[in-house]
Amino acid sequence: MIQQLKNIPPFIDFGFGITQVQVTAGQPVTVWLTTLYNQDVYTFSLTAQGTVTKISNYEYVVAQTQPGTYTIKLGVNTSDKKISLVSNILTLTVT
Amino acid sequence: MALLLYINGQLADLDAGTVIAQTRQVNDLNSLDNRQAGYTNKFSLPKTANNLRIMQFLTLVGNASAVPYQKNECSLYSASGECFVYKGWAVVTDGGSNYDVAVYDGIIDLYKAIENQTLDSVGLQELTHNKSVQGVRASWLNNLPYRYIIADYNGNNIPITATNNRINIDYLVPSVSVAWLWKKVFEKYNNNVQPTGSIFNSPDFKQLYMTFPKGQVRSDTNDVSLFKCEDYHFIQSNGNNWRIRKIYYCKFITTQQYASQWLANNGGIHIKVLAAASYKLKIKGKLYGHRDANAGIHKDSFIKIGKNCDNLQAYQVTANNIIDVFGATPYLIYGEDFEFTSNPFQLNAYDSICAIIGGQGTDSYELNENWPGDDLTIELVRVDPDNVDFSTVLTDFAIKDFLNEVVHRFGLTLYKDKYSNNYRFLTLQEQLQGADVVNWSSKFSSKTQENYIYGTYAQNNWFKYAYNDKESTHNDGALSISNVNLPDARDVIKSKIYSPERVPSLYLGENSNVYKLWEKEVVEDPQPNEPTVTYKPLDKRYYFLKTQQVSGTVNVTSALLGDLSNPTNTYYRETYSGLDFKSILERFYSPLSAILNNAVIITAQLWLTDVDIANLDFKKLYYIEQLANYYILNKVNNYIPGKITTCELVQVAYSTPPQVSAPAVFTIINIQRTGGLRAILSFTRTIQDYPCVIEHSLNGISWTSYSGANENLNSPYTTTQLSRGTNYFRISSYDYTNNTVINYSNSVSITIP
Repeated sequence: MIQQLKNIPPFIDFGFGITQVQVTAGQPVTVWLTTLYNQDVYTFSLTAQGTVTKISNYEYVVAQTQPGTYTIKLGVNTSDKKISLVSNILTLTVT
Repeated sequence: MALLLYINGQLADLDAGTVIAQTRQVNDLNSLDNRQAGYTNKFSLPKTANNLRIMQFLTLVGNASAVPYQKNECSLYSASGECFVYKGWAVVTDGGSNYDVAVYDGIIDLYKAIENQTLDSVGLQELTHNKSVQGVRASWLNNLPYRYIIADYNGNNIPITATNNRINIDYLVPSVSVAWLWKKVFEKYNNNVQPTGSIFNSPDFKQLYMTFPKGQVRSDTNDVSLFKCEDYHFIQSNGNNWRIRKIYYCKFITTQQYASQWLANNGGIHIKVLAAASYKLKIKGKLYGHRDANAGIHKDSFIKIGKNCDNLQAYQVTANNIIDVFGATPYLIYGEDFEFTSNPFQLNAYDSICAIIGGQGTDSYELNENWPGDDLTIELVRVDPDNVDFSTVLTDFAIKDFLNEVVHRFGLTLYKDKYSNNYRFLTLQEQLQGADVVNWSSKFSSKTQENYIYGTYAQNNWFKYAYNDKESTHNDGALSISNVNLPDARDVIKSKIYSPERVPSLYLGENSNVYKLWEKEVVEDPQPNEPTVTYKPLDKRYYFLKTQQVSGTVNVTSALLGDLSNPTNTYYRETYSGLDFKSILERFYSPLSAILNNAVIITAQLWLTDVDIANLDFKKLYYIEQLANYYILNKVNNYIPGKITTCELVQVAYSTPPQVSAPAVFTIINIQRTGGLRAILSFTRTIQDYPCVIEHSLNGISWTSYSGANENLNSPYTTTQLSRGTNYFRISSYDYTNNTVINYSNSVSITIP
């Protein structure tokens, strides 16, 4: 049970389960991590192109000024590097 | 073994051999509906001179001691200096031959601080505002602690058409951010030390709002009379030609009400308002119009309201300067009493209005300028918006209840730092993810009990909302335990929060949950001009809901204020996603459910030391080799230094077989090249039209979305030109029943030479 809890993959979205959005250049979007982790043990890193503003480990604001299609994902690791988890992939289309 | 007990900063005398049995707990898994403090059993303090002084001479004749009625700060140390209790509470329960005292610590500080306090006490001034069109829009555009969330509150919603996306604010209520209220509670009652915990950063918490609990509609008590006149002259400027249709301005002579700080006037005719606001006119009277120069031929009259006509004579005023505030121009029958009240209308600062009287029909018309029989009263009223004040309605919502709503909703346990006011709220999942393991094998003496039925649980442990219809249960949920030896069902949590209605309604073109704050009542046999439906406000209806930003053009209106905003492109709608108790239990109680479904509760005898008790950490897991298992420490019962201690341990499996995943919705059955560098994917989908994303990888490890957001994803699916080498494909689909899960199809590959 505990092993399973330690290895729950992270799920990210743009809010309310939305995993693909289309925005205009420069329009910020919020990426939410909805899976809860013990923040004493895990570290978090969002992989996204553009400007990323971290509000908390669970909330990131991403803005991209160049049109195109971009992917966003989040890595969750334990401090001792024994567990490394990768989230689902979000698609951000900038027009 | 000697103990050192400090009460209100003074070392108390203890009898030789006094034992103080300590019980330690934070969150009894046996009872979900409350959270516990640590405490000691009752012990006796002798009435020595020193103890009498500490107790402010309690029980002595003539004493005025407040000790039994106040917080007595208390610390308890072992002789070796281990701190058992730091700044706890000493409660004096009996002052007979000795002083009987019990000591509490842990979360008692917080629960004592909020005891008998209600939410209005945290300071809600920032929530107070005027309910106006501008105010509603401001709550969408600015970062305010409240927001008008578009939903059906069962009030009088203006009918929506495809071309008329109007929102009537009169039957909207604001909702306050739960995160903001939570922050205010800790600001006020925990010395502004905010609690920590992942949940407070999560969207589940940050997007949560609580409605204003009362259906509140603006009433006439908010009307402010600015001007009232019953003494008019009628001024015409057509000239004195005979048999013409004369048009008159109404000029006041004396006034019953004239609020000079809000008004100016031009010649007693044009009343100028000094502030932009909604206004309303009330007119009544009796007029004796007649054919010009022939008082014997009676004529009916009209009255119109002109706007900004200061530079015009009455007969020069055209339709462009007339404001239709009555819906239709009042028809005034000769010599008959009339009375009209206008609809609310907006005036900007320094706009002026005037009353214009003329004759009906096409004949000539005249009104005697100062005929004593003519009677006219005009009143100008400012229609102020309703004042919304949360502090007047949250007076019956106890802070303890609010705290418990949050704690229960997210399955949280409170951990207080022994030496500070820092509270940490953890879900069981977080606790178990980060739990250090402590080996207590060397302390183990014996197992005295092993139970498989835990506490007062039943097979179905219900979490229940309040409902407008008492028979409803549609948003309740049950924590189920597969143990046929348990009772059938039990209500574990009965929320103060109301559930929306079972059946949603169509609002602004989409389904909306119905959060009843008004009750619709159909009027039987309505009189003419009487509404066919009335709206009875409901009270004490607290709803939780989430808010979702929506892009789309809407017009914000107020029928009661006569106001209409410019179109706005962004607003916030309600969503109830994840708020039904079934979803809450799936999301936040699954670890507890796993424990309870294979419940093994051990009562063990352990040789604990002062150091163990002083450093006890309920967040940790405890391993006992003799039992070959890991345990959550639920409770330490009656620790007495130097004696064996009974502990309640809940067994947890460190590793269990992975759950069988749900069958994939998508299966790729074939991939083949076409047109040289492209490929055709053939796949099956077990649920018709189930949404998906086709993902691509060049190594079978790192995947990216391949299909576009607006693509029609049907089988067969043809790719664009692929890069040379091996290309991998799979299909991902979001699991709507478990919103943390993405399901994947099988992966296939194709090599492009």
